[in-house]
Amino acid sequence: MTSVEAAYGAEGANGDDDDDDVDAEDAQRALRAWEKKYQSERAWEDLEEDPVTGRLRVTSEAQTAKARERRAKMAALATSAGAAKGMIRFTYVVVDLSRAANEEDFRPNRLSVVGQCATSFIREYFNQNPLSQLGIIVARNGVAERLTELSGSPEAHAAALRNALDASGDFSLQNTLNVARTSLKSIPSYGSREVLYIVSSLSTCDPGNVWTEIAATKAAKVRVSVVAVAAELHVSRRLTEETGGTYGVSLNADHLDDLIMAHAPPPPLPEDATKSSLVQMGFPQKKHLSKDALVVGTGGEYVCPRCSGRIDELPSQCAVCRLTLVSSPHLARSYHHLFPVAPFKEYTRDEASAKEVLECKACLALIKQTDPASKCEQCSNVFCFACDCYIHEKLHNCPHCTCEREN
Amino acid sequence: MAAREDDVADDKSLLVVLVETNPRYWAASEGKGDGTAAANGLSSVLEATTVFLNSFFALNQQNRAAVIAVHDDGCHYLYTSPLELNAGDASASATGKKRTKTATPSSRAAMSSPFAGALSLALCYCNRAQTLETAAGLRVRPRILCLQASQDNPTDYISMMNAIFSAQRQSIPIDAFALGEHDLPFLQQAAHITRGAYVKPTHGAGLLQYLLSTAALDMRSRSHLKLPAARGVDFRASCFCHKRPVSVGFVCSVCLSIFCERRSSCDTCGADFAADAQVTSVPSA
Repeated sequence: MTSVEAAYGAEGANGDDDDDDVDAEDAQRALRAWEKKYQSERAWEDLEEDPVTGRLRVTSEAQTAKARERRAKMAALATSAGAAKGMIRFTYVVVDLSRAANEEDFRPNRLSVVGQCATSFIREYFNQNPLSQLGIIVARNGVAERLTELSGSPEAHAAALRNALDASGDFSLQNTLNVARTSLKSIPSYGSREVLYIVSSLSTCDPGNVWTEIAATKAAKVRVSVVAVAAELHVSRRLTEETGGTYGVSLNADHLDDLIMAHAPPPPLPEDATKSSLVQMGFPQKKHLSKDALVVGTGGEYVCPRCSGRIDELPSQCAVCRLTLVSSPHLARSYHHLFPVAPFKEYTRDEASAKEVLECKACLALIKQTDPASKCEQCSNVFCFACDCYIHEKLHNCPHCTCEREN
Repeated sequence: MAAREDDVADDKSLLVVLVETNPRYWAASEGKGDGTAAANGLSSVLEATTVFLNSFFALNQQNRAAVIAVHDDGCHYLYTSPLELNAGDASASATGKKRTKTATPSSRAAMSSPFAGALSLALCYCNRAQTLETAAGLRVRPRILCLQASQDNPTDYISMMNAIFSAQRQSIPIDAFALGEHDLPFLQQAAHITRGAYVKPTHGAGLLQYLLSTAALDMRSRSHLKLPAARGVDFRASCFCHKRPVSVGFVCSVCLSIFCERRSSCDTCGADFAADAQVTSVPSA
């Protein structure tokens, strides 16, 4: 769905004018889009009763079709994985706490829904982007208030946001953009600079010309994305277009969550925005510290590999030698982006093997003739479809290739 | 009458045991490493495992297990308890299915064993068990127990980490036993991240005792126990260029690849570092 349609679908956009009746009809039509899929397909024919348990289940043809669809999706993901991504991100989340956030078109009100979405986004962001940093700016009473500075601790941000959820006054695009831009100016050249707006307000109250601020943001290579709770706003759409970000308008609370979460995985790296560099980092060991020991550093469980100072949390910087310290599992979380498992081919049975019942090489499940099966092209083992999905979507290892690569 | 919360039936567990059976290692290590669990040879380890599994089955009638042999040329299922709960074969033998595999000695055998592959296999199996049980409206709590004697293979780093993270996501604890002389950094991290136990027996002859007192219990019972304290975790990574473990490395800012020495471009993503001669470090915020 294009965002123009999405804008019509938003309930908060409706006023009382005659024009809006037309809009409301459009909204009805847009909302019915999801139903069309089922109208044409006679979805009930895909169901059958399980002879053993008596539960309804999806028939095998429908399953096969779904399997194909999912496999194509996995293949598409695997091919896009090679692209360079901005892995070290510096992001400001701007939360609009103007009086528009008190509207009750979401239950119980926009404020709490936005608060929840933003909190889960913050957690997911740090899960998917180790080493990245995030800060929160709230916009209320016409001014921008920097709630938290850029830092790497999800819980601190979540707690600060929880305590600040109180909306009043106007929203100012220019003020918030200015605060974010000046703060992002000082970050190292290899980091990607981003701002994510979650806007409820349908207007912006600015002290000067907002377009000059947008031009300055573009010049500073800050990527601005906007998720609008209510409806599309021309100035914010232009802002995203100028800076290379994305724009989305939410249809309902779930859609809002999807839109915000879409910003958690690292975005493709723009050509000139960042400069790549090698960063020296240490991987400390965790060692127990006896209570009466005399220590250098902050006195935690981790030991700096360069100077043997003690550090209490990761990621951080050694208090003694200023070496950046990270935990290697932290880094390793993102490696499946780099080395994805090659997509499996659909396994087709030839005449000779058409009758035999196969066994999945990973989970030992029996694969009946009607069940979809997949074959790894490298180790030529056959897997059941459930394992295929699990391997590509969660595990990111082909079990048998991993065994063989070793030798 | 409402049942008390702590009065619920015991958790039934699915235990996947990974045993190292790599003939290269066991042949080479014969008689070496005094006092370690591996010193008495593979047969003593297998003996302890068998007794341990029998007592595990005795703890709860519904406990199930699978045993995977981690060989030099791959991993093979040795034993699996029946998983499916079909109405038809409820009386299916509780003894499960013994799978015989004749090991073919491969020419490219290595001293280290593919534990990352074995873990991936075990996770696929746990995943299937979980899907089956959720479909039947039940809950199963899978655990993985690794018995590793040989040293880690640094080339496995990424696949090992992938396996650990998916175990963590599914909350499957990985218990690790280091049977040989050396600590095993990968399994240490695995146990640390998934909240399992990492044990390096100091009295090799008592392996069974160690197994019974740590790995036999489900996660709920463990909270009442004082498990051997982790002495520390080795959080070192393997560099991508030489597959060496590194404690201070250089990280590419684009793709986060780790290198053990300074270089002019990134091998993984092709980013060019020539422009900045000076190695930077992330400023604290």
